[in-house]
Amino acid sequence: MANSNLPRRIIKETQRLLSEPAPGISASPSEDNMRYFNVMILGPSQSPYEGGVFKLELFLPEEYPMAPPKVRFLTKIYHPNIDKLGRICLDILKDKWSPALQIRTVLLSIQALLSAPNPDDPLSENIAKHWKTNEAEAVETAKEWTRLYASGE
Amino acid sequence: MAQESAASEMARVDDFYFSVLFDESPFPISDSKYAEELQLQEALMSITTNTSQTTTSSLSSSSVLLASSSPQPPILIQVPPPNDKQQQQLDLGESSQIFCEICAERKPIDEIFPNDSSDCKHSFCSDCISKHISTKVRYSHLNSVISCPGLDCKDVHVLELEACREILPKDVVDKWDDSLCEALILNSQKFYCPFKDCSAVLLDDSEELGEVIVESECPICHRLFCARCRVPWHSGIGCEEFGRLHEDERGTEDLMLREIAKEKKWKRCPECMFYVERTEGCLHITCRLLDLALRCVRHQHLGRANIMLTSPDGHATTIFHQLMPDMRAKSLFDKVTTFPPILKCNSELLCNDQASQVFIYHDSCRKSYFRFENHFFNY
Repeated sequence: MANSNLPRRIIKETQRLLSEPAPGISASPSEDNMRYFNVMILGPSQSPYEGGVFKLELFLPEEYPMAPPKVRFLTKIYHPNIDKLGRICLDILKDKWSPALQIRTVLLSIQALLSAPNPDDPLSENIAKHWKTNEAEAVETAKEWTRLYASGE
Repeated sequence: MAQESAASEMARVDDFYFSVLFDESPFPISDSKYAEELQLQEALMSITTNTSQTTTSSLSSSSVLLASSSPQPPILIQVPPPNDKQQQQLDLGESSQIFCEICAERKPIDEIFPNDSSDCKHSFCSDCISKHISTKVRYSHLNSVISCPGLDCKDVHVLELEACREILPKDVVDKWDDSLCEALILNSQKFYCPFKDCSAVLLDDSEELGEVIVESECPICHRLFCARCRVPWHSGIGCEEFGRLHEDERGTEDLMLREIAKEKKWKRCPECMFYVERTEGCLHITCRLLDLALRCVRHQHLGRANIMLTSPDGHATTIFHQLMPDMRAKSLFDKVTTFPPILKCNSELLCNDQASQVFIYHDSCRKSYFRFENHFFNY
């Protein structure tokens, strides 16, 4: 039922995500609901998340593409802009959303956020504080969490 | 004539480039494929330009116009002549259509939102622009600036209401218009009707009038409110007194209760804040929580308290003065017990709370408190 009247835009985006996945990102729609995507992002190299496989869920609301997709990390991650529920602090997912953006661009932005954590605009106060006071130690914790929770097993 | 056709060709080239961009995204994912597609699109274009230009100009070889954002003469480049009939048919079928990046559909040119702005060259279909504006107007009501949805266009190309009026539903136009008007009013002068089901935007012109407006009527819902406190009208109570009330006691019903209490001379227990009515008996009312002397009104004035303590055996009395706030009798007595021991009995110093009688006369409010064993009296 949910898949009837799927806008052409979503169909085209899905086809492209499947046929030409962006490097380090895979996104595939759920069989029961074509608006729900299972996403996997590989931790970018030279980041504390390197070697990790991060699972996310992405949902295209009824208003998409006028409203942004809803994205959440399912894998636990130690990052100042991601909270313990996996919610992501990213401007293009909120007020900077434009209907000209796509699922692909959103996921690439999230991948970029893993490479460049921004403790000045935090979602997890504690992690951001840790990052600002002792970055080396915070990075170690992030690596540890990547080993513990995102090793892909 | 040639200029005109060049302009329409340019729009068409733009369309093809956008469609390539969409399919390949702004990120360099597969350069070879990108280039290949561009070449294909250019070849397709050459057919269009060729077929249309041969009628207007005498160019014998095929040429293609490159997309350019300035009105400079278009650049002509040579490409091989077309030889694929199928491509030609495909092109003729879609030549008057533009690809909308938002809905990912090709739309006839008359369904494309006319972008007359010099700030950007994005073209989206009218339907998508209308939906974009409607969503912005409905969900981000405090932000009346709506930009072109193109990437990197935020605050660069701002969409104008007049240019969009025709493609928008009436309720969206009205709402957008309202929020634009609202944005013109300074925040310091603007406030909302305090009745939540009304919340009309109101203008505080007390500065212009040079007087503070207090009791006002909302011109929309016609209910009374206080423009100074920005709350529903607090009848029977001044703004200062209202400001001192606890947040939980500012509702209309709370204020009505206050008025009844005043009329009926009900008093409130200063500790548990319950209203108490004395129907008969003496003035000494025992609160369910603690003793309450009815006439004890709380003033927080400091004043000289004359305190007299009587020793447990009733023989010795100690009198002293102390600067104390005029507070509830029991607190006053409790306070006395915290003073350094001054009560003497048989040349022995006792704790003050061992006094059999305590008498306090407070200078500033001319009230007396008396405790005898566990009984309190005020007069």
